Amino acid sequence: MARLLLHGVGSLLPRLSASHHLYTVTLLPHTLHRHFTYAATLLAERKYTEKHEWVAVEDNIGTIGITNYAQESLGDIVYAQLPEVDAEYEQMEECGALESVKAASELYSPVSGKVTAVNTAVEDQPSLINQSCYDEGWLFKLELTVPAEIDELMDEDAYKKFLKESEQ
Amino acid sequence: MMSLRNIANMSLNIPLRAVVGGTNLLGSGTNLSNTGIVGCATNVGTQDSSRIPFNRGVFISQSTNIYSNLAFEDWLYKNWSFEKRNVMFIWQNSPCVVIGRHQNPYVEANLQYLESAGVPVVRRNSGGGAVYHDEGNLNCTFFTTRDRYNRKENLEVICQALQEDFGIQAHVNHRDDIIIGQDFKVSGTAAKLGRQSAYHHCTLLVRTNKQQMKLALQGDKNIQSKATASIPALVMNLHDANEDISVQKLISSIGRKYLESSTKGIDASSQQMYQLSNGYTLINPTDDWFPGLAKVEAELSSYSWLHNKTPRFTITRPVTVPECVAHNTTVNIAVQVYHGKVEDVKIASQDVCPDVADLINEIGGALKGSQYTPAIFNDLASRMRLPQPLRNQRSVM
Repeated sequence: MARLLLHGVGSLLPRLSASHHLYTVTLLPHTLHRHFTYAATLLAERKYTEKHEWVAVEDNIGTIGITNYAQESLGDIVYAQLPEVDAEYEQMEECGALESVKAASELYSPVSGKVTAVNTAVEDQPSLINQSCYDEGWLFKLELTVPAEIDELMDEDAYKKFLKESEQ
Repeated sequence: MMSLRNIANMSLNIPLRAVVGGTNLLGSGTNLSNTGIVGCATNVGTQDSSRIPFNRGVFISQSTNIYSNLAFEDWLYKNWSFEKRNVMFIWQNSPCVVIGRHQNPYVEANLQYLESAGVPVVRRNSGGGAVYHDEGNLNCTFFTTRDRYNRKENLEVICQALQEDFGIQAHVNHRDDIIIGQDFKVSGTAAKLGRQSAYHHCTLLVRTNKQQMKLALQGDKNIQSKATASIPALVMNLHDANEDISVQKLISSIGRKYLESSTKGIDASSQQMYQLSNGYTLINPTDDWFPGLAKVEAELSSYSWLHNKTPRFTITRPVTVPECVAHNTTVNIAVQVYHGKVEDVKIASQDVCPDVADLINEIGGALKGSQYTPAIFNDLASRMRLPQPLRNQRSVM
């Protein structure tokens, strides 16, 4: 988590979960104030689906990725087929695929919306998804058309509980 | 005990009655009612599981058309529920090259040769690398729920069949290839995973024409791309390990091994009759049998599915500048292609004289957005001879 926070400066911050106490450990004092400002205004909580996608919403723009559990079970990702900018999706509609060890896994949009950006870095280097699934390995951003859908998704605690239960 | 040949013949020739959820799936070996299939596809989720007499079924395709078979595979994946049973689909194709979902046909296949030989190149929905199919190759698809997806388990069924019925020692390597001896690949694997369902399919080289295979898979390896790369391997036919093996015998053997695991505990003779009457289903992958299949087939056989689903790539070629433009000049030109369309045209040589560079950039700009074909390099050269504005016309290609 500490490594993740060091990467999470500036525009990446909104995708981090709100573990405020860690900031004091990982950031230098003179940057502290600025980042707490970010934390107050931009930091969004990640929500999770049962299919192991996460979404963090800020100003009605959702950033979407896959969870650590998903990247671990997929193995080394060799290709990321991401949606096109401006494409529109319904909640849980197929919007792309991730290929790993000869398997193409469908990717679903956890919320309804219109694609505003895709992470070209993971198109060039799909292993980023394995290395940093919550940060540099984000997949795409959506402008939400049904913001209330977010409330139906699991928060971090509920997702952890869900993982534990599905392992049994 | 019936001989293997008899089982194979019976499974392929006799009229079969496969019962799924109390609905007759097959009236006879060749005549399937539409309503039966539609009924199956739509009420699978609600039927009483106790009425299903088996939890594993084998579908055998009567077609050798790659487009029809891939369309059936996709149709089944999208329309059936595998909650109550697993399905193995056995199929063969006339000669063709099948590439992975995220591959580049120019890199993977010898397109010029294949076109002249009338051999189709097809993009499938699963991941993985390029393979060559012909009548000496057998394909098996294992359908399960996403949760029950298990490639090793499926491949073990095949290895067991090879060992017990043909005395061939085979093992599964870390890439889920089936290997014979030190390093000879006889089977390649790929998979597609969805929200509810998944399938894993594999090839099995029984008696494939290896020369044709080599020729067919000779693509252009100089293309730069992030597309999934095929990993070349030494291959071997199962027939070279045991001359007694044939595709028909292998179908029977693998089918039986697959079904056996669902009938453990039943005595041998009833087990055999049970499998024959319930386990095997001959299917004809047509729209009559499986409504909606024609649409899937049309998509799979379209030019845009093969070419415009290709990940971004850059192809660099030397282009000889016409003498009327510059004396004895060759320029390397890099064309970047995304989803089948020219995205950028760049000069990849050093020290190109400014006039020629300007000309190339001007024509390159006009070619942006057009459909990529390898003819673009010749087209670029011939446009240099044309006066403006002819050389910049977008409609020339």
